[in-house]
Amino acid sequence: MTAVPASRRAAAALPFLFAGLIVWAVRFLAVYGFTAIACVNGWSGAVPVVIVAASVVAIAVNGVVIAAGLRRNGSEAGRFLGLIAAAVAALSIIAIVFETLPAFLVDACAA
Amino acid sequence: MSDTTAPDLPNPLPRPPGELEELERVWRRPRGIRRLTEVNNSQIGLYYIGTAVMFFLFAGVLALLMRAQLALPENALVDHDLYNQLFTMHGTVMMFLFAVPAVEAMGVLLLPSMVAARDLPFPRLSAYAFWAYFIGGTIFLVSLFLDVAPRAGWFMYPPLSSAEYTPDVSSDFWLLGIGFIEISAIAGAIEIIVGVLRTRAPGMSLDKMPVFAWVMLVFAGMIVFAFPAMIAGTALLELERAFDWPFFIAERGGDPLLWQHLFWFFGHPEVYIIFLPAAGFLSMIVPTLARRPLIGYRAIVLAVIGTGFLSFGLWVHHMFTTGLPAISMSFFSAASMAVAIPSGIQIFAWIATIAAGRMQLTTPALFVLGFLFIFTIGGLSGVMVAMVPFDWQAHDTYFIVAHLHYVLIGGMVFPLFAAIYYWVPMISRRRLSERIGKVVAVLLFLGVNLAFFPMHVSGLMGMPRRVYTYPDGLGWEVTNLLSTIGAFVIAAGVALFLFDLARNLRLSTTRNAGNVWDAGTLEWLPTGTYQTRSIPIVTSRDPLWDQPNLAADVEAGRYYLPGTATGRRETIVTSSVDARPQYVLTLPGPGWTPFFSAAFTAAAFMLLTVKAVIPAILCGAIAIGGIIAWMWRADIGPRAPVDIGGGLRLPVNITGRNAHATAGTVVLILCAGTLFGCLLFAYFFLWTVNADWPPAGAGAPSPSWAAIAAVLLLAASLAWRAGRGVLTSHDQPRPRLMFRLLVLGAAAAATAAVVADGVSLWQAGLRPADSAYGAILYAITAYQAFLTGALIIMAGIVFARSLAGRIGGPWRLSFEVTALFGHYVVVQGLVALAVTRLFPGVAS
Ligand code: HEM
Ligand SMILES: [Cu+2]
Repeated sequence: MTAVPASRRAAAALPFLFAGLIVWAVRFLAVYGFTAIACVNGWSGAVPVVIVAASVVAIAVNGVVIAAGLRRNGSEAGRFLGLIAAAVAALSIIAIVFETLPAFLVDACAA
Repeated sequence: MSDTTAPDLPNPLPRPPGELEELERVWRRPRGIRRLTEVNNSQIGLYYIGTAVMFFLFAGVLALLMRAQLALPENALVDHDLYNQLFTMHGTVMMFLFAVPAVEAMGVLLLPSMVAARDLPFPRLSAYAFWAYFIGGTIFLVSLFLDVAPRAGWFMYPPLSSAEYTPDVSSDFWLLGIGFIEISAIAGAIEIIVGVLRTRAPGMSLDKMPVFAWVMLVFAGMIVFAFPAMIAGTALLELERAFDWPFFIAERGGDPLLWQHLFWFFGHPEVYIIFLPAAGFLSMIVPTLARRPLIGYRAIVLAVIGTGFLSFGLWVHHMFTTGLPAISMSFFSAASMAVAIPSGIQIFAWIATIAAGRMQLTTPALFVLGFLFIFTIGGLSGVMVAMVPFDWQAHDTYFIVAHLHYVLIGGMVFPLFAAIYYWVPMISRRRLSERIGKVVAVLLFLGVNLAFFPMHVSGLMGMPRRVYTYPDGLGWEVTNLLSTIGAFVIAAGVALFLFDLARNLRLSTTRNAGNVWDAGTLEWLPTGTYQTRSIPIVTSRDPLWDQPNLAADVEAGRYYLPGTATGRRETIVTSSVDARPQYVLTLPGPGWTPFFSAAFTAAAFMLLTVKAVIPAILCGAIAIGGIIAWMWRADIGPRAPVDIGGGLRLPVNITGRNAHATAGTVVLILCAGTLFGCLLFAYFFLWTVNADWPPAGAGAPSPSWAAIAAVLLLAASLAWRAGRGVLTSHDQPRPRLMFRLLVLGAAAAATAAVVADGVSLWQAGLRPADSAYGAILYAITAYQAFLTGALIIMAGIVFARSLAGRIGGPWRLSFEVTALFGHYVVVQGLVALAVTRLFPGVAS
């Protein structure tokens, strides 16, 4: 066992672990906010398009996170971190797909 | 990394004489009245859990009163006004004074020993949080006896709770009392996050961390992001009640739905905030009872993280009947179903572990089985109400009461009982009685099902919730009588549990019953007031099972830090991912400041409820004085490096990125930022509900003032940077005067910026009471002023420290923390200006 000096990498570990769900949260808020504004202004036609576009972008970013997580090596803890980060990103892809389906099924701004 | 064979252990035997005595001396617990000064987390954890159980009993008695009233139709035991207070107090106390504090208390109690730290990094913060909760909560209860208890339901919807319909002080009690207790929960969360990340035993890398530590990390993270929404909501509603700022009054551009958004943005995660730690108990208990390692550790970690995040995407499912756009509601309906996936993963992992092992039917095991049954029913009725059309039917009926109690009692109360029966041997000379415990478990199980199952039926027959009585002849008599009988069966079970505690609970740190379950995790190492004699090197997830002779070697002092290296209370700080030792952190010993600061903070809030403004300000000032005294002694600066064994020489008390205080400040900033985000949400929300934004006739604040404010803010940031440069420069002697001027200048610039901002609002003719537009602008500025006030105090301390020679060179943690916060204040100020001044009215 040796002591370690300060490192930037350690500070980035947690954000990376949660990256998938941070992407999910950003997409969620963006879509929610856009829908609220769009429905007030009567742009209901744009809503499904924007939702699908946002989901595609978010899923792509999560794909990158998954790849980065699976490629991570080093210590046992580092590999564990990468694996969990990838799984977290996969989980958020499932959640994003779930939350995109209504765009095809529901009339956007009906009350 | 060294392995576990004896010759490699860091410290040789025999240990020098006097080493243990010295360790005992620095960790000695104060006696008599000075017990109030103890700050050690294990001790505070005990007070904490005891208090939470007391609040549970209190709220339970209120429930019995309600059930007694509802036993028969047209009963006259309790009138409608008292009934309103009863259900409001019952729900509020259960949720805010029992459920969250109880699990937070278990974290504070168990985590230090589970990660084999001597203590978590901010003991005084925990002590402050506990006393604030204890004193504030107790005063809150008293309101019921004075007939001023809140009565608008545990979620306090305006307009019912607003000044027009509740003119007395009862809602103020709720808003200030509960708002205040949220602050204490946040303080505890900061302690838990930094503790879990930075004080784990060497070698306990993230992949070897006990599930409970993962769970508490996510739990505390959720508090950091959820509770500020609640604080924002209560602050806005209190501003409306006290000063008539119309956030929720539709005639003046406000909207009661804003409250519902803020409340449920907090309130839904709250359910998981309660449930996750309880699940964490189970992930610790189940493997021990099944006598094998947990199956699916990684899946559980994933599930815990997933639940923590996804639960924030659900808040609107409490508002399906409020007329939002259909598509928005369907997001939340979908998310409600998605969040069931991670919960399912955890349940399958436990069942698999039980099936693969040999589970004995001990008392904790009975509670685990009870949990599985009750929580599953709650989950099923939950899936039913997540369907929008079904919710339209069940909304506000007893079906919901049944659902929420199945979830909360199954998901939290049963695991808590399992945890108490399981962990009492760690803190008590005798374990609790297995025989009595089994009877308790059976009584609670039968009682809960008898009390709450019939409520589903009452609800489907149309019985609304929150009614103090009901007429004869609607067919509701039988189910209600059964519910009442069930409630009293629960009470009998709880009474028997108290009897067991009285008979067998004999608190002791040094001579506890010990590892009676033959469990594998570190909280079962032999302990003293200093936790473990030496700090082990961990190489496995269940060290006591996999590392032979660990307990004996730890107790003999063969691992790290077998005595006190600095002559003070201290613990080892390790890196967050790999848990490699980084430095030794000295910890504060007993002192009065946390207790007194907490008492006077509580007094200040409670005096505000009854509008005693001057005494409240006095108490607030004393509390701040106490906190200043505490901060003054907090940063004792680096010391000479020390040996902890195995040839490892560690620095003592470092500064910079890796320091514990930096981590704590970052968490605090996340909290402050979330609160600010909630205010911005309110701004945009009010914008979407108002056709005119800004409303016709409202003045526009002049852009030149905003520009001045922005320049001042940037100047403040530059001054913080320059101050750091001066402090770390190698010039001899250091230019102290320059440093002091920069600190004062930075604080002054931030202050001037917020003043300029306020003046510009006023000059434009805006008044907070005129419209929701004015109100939210002033609220954002007021929040900026509040943070600036905190910054002034911090800067003042740094300035005084510089005068006293308590800062300079490597001794600068208090400055770095202040500067970090100072930069945040600048960023927030700039964002606020950009949002409110650059484009008002662009969207419509
Ligand atoms: C231990 C046995 C318990 C019994 C017999 C019980 C009974 C009741 C009753 C009769 C109501 C009022 C229903 C109404 O009039 O609408 C109620 C409401 C409520 N209970 Fe319980 N309860 C128990 C435990 C709990 C626990 C452990 C929690 C939370 C951790 C809890 C949280 C709530 C909440 C949030 C409400 C809603 C209050 C409101 O409508 O504002 N209860 N309970
Ligand atoms: Cu919910």
